[in-house]
Order: sequence, then C-alpha cells, then structure tokens
Amino acid sequence: MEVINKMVTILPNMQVLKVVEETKALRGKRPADEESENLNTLLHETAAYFKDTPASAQKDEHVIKLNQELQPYKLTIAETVQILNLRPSTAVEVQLVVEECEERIRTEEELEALVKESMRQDEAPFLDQWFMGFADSKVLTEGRREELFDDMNQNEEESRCFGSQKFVSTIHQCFNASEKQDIPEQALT
Amino acid sequence: MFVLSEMRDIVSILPHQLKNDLKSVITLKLNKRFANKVIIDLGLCICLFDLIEIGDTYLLPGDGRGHIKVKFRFIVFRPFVEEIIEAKVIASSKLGLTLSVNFFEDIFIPAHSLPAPHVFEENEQLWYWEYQQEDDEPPAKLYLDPGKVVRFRVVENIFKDIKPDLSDEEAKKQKSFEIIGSMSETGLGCTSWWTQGGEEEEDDQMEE
Repeated sequence: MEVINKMVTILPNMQVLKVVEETKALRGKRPADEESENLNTLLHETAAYFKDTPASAQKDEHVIKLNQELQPYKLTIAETVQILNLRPSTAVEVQLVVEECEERIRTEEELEALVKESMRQDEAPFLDQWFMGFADSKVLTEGRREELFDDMNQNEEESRCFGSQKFVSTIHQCFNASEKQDIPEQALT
Repeated sequence: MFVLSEMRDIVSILPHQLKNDLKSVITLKLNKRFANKVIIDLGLCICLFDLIEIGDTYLLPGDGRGHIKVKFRFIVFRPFVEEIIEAKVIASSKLGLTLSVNFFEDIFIPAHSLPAPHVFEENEQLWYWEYQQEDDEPPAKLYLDPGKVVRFRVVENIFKDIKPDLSDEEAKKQKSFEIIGSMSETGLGCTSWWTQGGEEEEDDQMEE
C-alpha cells in the first residue's frame, strides 16, 4: 500500500455525507460478516454525526450558488469549506474562520454582509475554488487550477464515481462562468 | 475535516469472486480493508471515493487468487491545523476535556487551552468558565458538561506508530491518532454561549 498524494483536495462535509450514504445503500444488499464490522460501524457513526450539522440539508446547487456569492470576499478554500461546514450565524464565528479578519474585511458592514451570505439557506461554499485547493496554501495560481481541473476531469472518465462526475462538471461550469448570475434576494427566516 | 487522498494498493480476489463485477468487488475489498483504520501521517480512513485505475489481474503459481494493482482515492478524516470543528464533550478530568465527533473520539483539549478563567470543580469533576458579567452580579459559571456541543480550534494532529501486539489495556491507552485542540479564543467553547441572543453581551466582555 502506497500513498501517492496525501491531499488531493479538501472535501466539504456534504460531499462526504453523499458518498457515505451511497456506500451504505450499496452495502444494504450484502450480508454482514466479521470483516465488514468496521466499515458498517464507521458508516453509521459518520452519518449520525452529519445528521445534526448543516451538511445534511445541503445540495450541489447550494454549493455553487454560495460560491458565487462569496467571490468578492476572496476567501481561501479552507475558509470556504469551513463556512460551508459550520454555517456561521454571527460575526464572532466568521472572525474565527477567516484569518486576519480585521485586515481583510475592513468594515463592520462587510462583515455583517458576509455573515448574512453564509446564513442563507440555499447557500453552499465555493465549489471551484475549494475543490481544487489545498488547506495550507492561500494562493493557487490560475494556471495550476486549470491544470488540476483538466486532470480531474480526465480521471473522471475512467473511474467509477459516486455522483462525483456531475459534481466535477458543475464545478467546471462554475469555474468557466464569466458572468455573475443574478441571485434573487431570499427572505431570511 | 475531510481530505481526499490518492493511494495505490494490491487487491487480492478469491477465485469464486473473479466472475463478479470487478469494480464492485474491488470497492468492497478496499472499503473493508481501510475503513475505520488510521494510516500514520495520513488520518482516519472513511470510505472509498472512486477508483482511478485498475491494473491487470495477476495469477501467481500455486495461488488461485487474482492480484490486481489498483489506484484509487479515499476519503480521509484529517482536520488541518487551525480548523474550527464542532464536537461533543464526552469526558472531563483535571487534565482537560475529551471530545468526540461520533466516528472519532480522541480529541483532547488540555486544561490550559480552555476559555480563561477556567475552574475545575472537584466533586462534580467538571470544568467551568468563570464569565465576568457587567454590573455587580457575581461571575457566571458556564459549565462544560459531557453531552454539550462545543466548538474548538485544531492545534495539532499527533500520529503515533503503535505495535500491533499489545494487551487490551495498553491498546486502550495508546492512541495512534490524537487531535489536540484549543478553546481559548472568542467564539470557542459551547455553541450555546455564542448564539444570537447572548452575543452582544459576550462581545462587550471579550474585548482583547
């Protein structure tokens, strides 16, 4: 067993939940045996954890939408994934997630607006940026991003995907979208 | 919390399964092999994300099994340093708090990283945060009871290579993957302390 790449990308909780549910569904048809005890336990416990988090209600479309909404804030992939996973509802929480918040989000209004964006129900964190990013790097050049995208898309053709094919192609669309779509204002609950 | 890792391994398939759909057999084998296991310096393996490449099936002399080189991507639980995570308190002692995220229970917050000023109550074996309130009211005791959902920041991921042949007791004490966290910043600790209602009050007090 050899690890080729320790971290290809960060995954948001909703994506992991999706894969876990699909794996569970496939397992359902098989009889339980000793070896699969570990697998079954893990799948159950992970699903149970996600049930109480925002990830359980998120879909791909939400992710893309939020991604676009959060573009002007220039957040790193790690920050976006965290916003997706945690859905901060107060300025304090946002300050925890965003590094050097005072310098990057200078005014109170901007901070409040960011909080509002992340709170919206049909939102999801950036899809293209985070999907291709690395946790520690704050700068991912355009060229490298394109490279990774192409590589990912090529692999998708050969591999069996758990719905990830659609996922990746939606990211690709998102990435190539040159115009920002007009998202109608939603009433906040 | 989760990353995607690319790995390569050789999967052995028993003769009677060679007639089945190769992809599903390989997926199952890989899931059974890695799920819930910690790989040193990588993290806790969750489940298979997808298969990238399936090599040829080799048959060795004297062995009926088919051996296949497979390249695949696996979902691994490995939070990055400085990440904010929500978890549940499961145990508390003089040394600190132990948290769990259901599928992983070795998250430790050492006593000095709890929100200051922190006090340990001996008879209840509980930690609480002594929160200075406005006016002349006595400081509030905000308890960190087991069962409460808390937010913490990841400080360090510790991987330890453990010998496979340990007695039960030793195996319990030694952890191959441990996460050290901290709750000493504004916004960390019980999620209920920082919700919209009580937020303004906390904010005023927590000027740093």
